[in-house]
Amino acid sequence: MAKAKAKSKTTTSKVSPTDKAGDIAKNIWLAGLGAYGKAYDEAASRLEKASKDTPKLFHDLVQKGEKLEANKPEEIEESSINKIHKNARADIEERIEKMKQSLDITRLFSSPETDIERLEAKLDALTEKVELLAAAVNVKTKPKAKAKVKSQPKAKAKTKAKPKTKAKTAPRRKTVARK
Amino acid sequence: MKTRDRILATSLLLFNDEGEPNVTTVDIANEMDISPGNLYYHFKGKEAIIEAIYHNFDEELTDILRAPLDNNVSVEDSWFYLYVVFEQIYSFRFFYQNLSDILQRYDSINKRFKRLLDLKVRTAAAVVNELIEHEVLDIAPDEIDQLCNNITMTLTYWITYRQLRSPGQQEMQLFHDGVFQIIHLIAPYLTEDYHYIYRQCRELYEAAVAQLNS
Repeated sequence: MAKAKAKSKTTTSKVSPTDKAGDIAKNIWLAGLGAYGKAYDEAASRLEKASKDTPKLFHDLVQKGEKLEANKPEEIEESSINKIHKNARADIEERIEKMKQSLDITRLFSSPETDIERLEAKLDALTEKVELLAAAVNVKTKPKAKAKVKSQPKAKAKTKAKPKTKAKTAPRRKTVARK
Repeated sequence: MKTRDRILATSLLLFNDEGEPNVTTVDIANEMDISPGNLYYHFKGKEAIIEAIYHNFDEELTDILRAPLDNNVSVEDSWFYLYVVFEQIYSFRFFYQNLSDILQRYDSINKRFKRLLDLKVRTAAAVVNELIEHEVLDIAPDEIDQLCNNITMTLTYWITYRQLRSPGQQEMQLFHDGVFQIIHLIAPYLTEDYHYIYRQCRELYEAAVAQLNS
């Protein structure tokens, strides 16, 4: 790139010094864009091969740069760090929300009153369960009731086949402890 | 994603999985399927990569820690807020796992990290004071500082400590344990009206862990 810079000075020598400087800066910027668009190592290998016609390579890169600049200049200019930082600021509330959802715990910091409500709901569910069990001991109960009472299958299994569930739950507990 | 960001993301992944000292820039380039020359074009070595990753982490965690100072986190959200802090630290665990080594090698990171620790203490103090104001906690004023330093220490070293004690734990398990550990630090100071918070936290913790292991 240093070589290219030196040569470009000679090619644009007709213009006034300030314009010249501006042009050079612009060309370097465009060349940079061109290099950005091209794979770096490919450009490097070409540079080796074409060390004699560096100006040509430089102009190639300027042309590529011009194309790229016309397409999406602002995307390249925007620093990725800035982007990440901006995101982080808006993130906190969002992150807390996400965490809430992934934890699926909305009952936290509920007052004792909601505690009682929860217990009442549990009691209702249990009552329903008992009624269902009384009504149909062996038959699979209605799907509607099943969906309502989450822990029902467990309780059913307990009353139905005690030894079986014992055997099932015992090893599971062991693996938990081992973990 | 731009190449620069991809390099940072891949490096972070490799550092966290393999440990920072075991990963070279060639490893990073190989993992991304780019040439080392291309990587060098973006970062002039591993040091530059680590500094850029730290920069991002520092800014993000600073934003997170400032939120309670600016009153952006409600008391009800405190519990979830702790999870977010742990999650952020976990996402950057290679650094915490190799803390003193990296701090010795990078003076600029050392300075920034000290500021971050300071901010952790101040944030903890802000939350504690808010809870005192709401009469959730009852602490003698001269004990607040010790409590806040204990919280900061747990936040900083919890994940490293847990991974030493029982390697290969799921990340959510680490978070549950860490949050509950901090609740434990605060629990002795809960006022009578708010003892139920600890009970609920225990219930939640046990339910969450059971769910994780089922």
